[in-house]
Amino acid sequence: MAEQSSYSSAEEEITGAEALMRSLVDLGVEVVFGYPGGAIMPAYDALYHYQDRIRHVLVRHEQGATHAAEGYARVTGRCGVAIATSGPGATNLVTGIADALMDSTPLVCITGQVGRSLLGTDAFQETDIIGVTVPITKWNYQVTSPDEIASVLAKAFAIAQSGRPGPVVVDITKNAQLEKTRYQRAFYDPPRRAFHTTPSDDDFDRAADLINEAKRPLILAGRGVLIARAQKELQIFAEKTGAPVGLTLQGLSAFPTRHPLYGGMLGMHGNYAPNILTNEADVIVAVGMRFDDRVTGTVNSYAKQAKIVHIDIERAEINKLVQVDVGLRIDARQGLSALIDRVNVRTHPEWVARFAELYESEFETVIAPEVTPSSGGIRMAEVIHRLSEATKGEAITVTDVGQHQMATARYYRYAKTDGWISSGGLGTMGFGVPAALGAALAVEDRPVLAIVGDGGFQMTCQELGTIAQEKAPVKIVILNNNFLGMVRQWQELFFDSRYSFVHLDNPDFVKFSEAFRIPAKRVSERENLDETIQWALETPGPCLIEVQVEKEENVFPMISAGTGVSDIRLK
Amino acid sequence: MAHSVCLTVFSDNNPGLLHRVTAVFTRRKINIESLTVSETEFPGVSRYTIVINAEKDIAGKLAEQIRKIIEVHEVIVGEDEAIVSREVALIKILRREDGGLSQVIEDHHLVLVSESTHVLIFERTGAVEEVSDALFALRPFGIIEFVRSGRISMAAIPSRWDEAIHSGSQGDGAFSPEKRS
Repeated sequence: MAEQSSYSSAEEEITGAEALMRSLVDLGVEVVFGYPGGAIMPAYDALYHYQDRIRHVLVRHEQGATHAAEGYARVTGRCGVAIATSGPGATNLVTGIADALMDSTPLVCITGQVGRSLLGTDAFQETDIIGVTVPITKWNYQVTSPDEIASVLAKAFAIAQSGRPGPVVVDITKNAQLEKTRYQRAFYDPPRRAFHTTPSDDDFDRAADLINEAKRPLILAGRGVLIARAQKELQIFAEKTGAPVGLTLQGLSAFPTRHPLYGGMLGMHGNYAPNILTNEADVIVAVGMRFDDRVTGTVNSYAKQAKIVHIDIERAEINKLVQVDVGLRIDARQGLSALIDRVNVRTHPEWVARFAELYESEFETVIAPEVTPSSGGIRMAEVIHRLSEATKGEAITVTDVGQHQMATARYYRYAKTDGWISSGGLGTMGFGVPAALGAALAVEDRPVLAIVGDGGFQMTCQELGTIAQEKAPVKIVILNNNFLGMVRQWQELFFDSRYSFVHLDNPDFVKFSEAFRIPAKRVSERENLDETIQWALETPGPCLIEVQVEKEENVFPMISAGTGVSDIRLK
Repeated sequence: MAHSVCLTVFSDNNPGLLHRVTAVFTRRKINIESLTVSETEFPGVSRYTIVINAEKDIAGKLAEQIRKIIEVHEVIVGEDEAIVSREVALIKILRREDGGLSQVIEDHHLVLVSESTHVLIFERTGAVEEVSDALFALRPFGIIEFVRSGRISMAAIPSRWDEAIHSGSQGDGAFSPEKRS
């Protein structure tokens, strides 16, 4: 028997809108991010009666709702929920939906739609959001009858959270919200398909044989490890095989950065050692990662010498970009567990020492001058380093997209898992502030830092209103160089320093923040940095610090576009 | 090298699914040469026959992308096994003195399906090449209009689809309110 709601019994007829609320409660939803409007008003009317059971966060723009829901989902591992009206409300969700698809974030978007009789007539605020979101959703569905609501919501949440998570859109016509139905809690069993195969013992044995014979093994771990909660298995597997671990951008914090087998971050602005040594490893074990082009550089010169074992839950990712020797279509945790039982205890001291050597050269050329500069303006890296020290590596860092993002990825020393929330696949500027809001509403025991640039901040800075209203304890750090820094860096390096429309005349960020009644400070001198960070961490509730950083600094190392991982340059 | 590849997709018969399937091709700017949708021997299951021009490894990757669609039961890439294909064409020509038409009708197994004072409409059903040959042969008689169905295909031997069904792949109707996960 389904649990009886205090609001209506299973026998009683209720509106579709109330059935929607009952479904959300039954599916365990505690927080939704949304914005009301014409076609979703019946749902909001029902929500009025459910506000003691569902916390609704009124964002300032629907894009903010999607990113906040993503931030919430990334912290909790459960579905984020965004609600919007039809037409412009729904189209404003599009960027966040595309972002969630690329980064495998479970997101359910509920949109209002014009009444069934008006569908296809160009009615007021009618947009075919099902058509619009086909290429950017894992699944979508238009509900036109209240009788469908419970079953479709159950299906939507199951699809969004299972397998490789992703975004789902449920579009509900106004008549379906208003008409009556008999609510009964629904459950959804995903269909079984013949191609849903799992690896055989033989497949695992072949993978283990390769690993056991390896002299220079390397593990590449991505966000799939975090989604599958396989951090412990990853560490056991690495320690047993003696293989160093390189993390993708979205895999950051899946492995402790101070572990002797931590090899660093992979990819375009990653660390020197794991990129160079990708092309020297004899066996690569890739777990929950998808060989994104920002990780591989040109695939024509990527790991050609290595035997590759690829563990991924998504069958379509295996052999999509890089041909592998053993593909294991399985959840990272189950896959690693099966391999842990089969691999021998090994050590590879000389191979591991190569990582340390290359780290030393990166440290001397890049890291030391960035983190502890002796002169010049404040560097992004030193801000991140100081933040990392002040929070003991235990904060949740939510970034926007650009140079500050790479600086955070490179210089925050993650001591706790799930510390990294960022837009990786889509590279969505404007992600940082609303995603940090969502994350801050989901955690209580860790500080949430929104580390953003001056460009991306201004794409969604209206969400300061939401942060203030919800008293969400987000510590916003703007690294302000009055430039779209990453684009400027590329223009400097690859377009002969023609700075084409990358300079920003910015508002007074401190006054801007204070206008939202969020306390703020500006720091432009190195000697004031630590005390300002301390002030931010000790200020209860939300606050903002603007750090004026060196105007024209570049993020290095760097794999230039069209080159390979071993062409990574230190300067 | 790019050549003609036939993908057969089995899916639930839901509105909007055609869009989701074709979007996989649109994304890679692959033109669909022909597309037919029909019912199958299983109620509620649709069968799409899609012919594209592509390299074989690309076709395999497209099949994997299509398998990601929740309602898709199976995708079979035509080259994997011997397939039987047929296509139907309707060809309209001006009514005129014979001038060798009878011979063409006989040689190309054309069936007269409609005649009026001014025009004749023939049907030709056959392999893709046979339909093309028939069109070519009728050209001298002045084709006013023609339409081709695009091909439909079926594996000549028991296919993975048969195995899929017999190994228990199930439709997506699992909305049972009583069932607990």
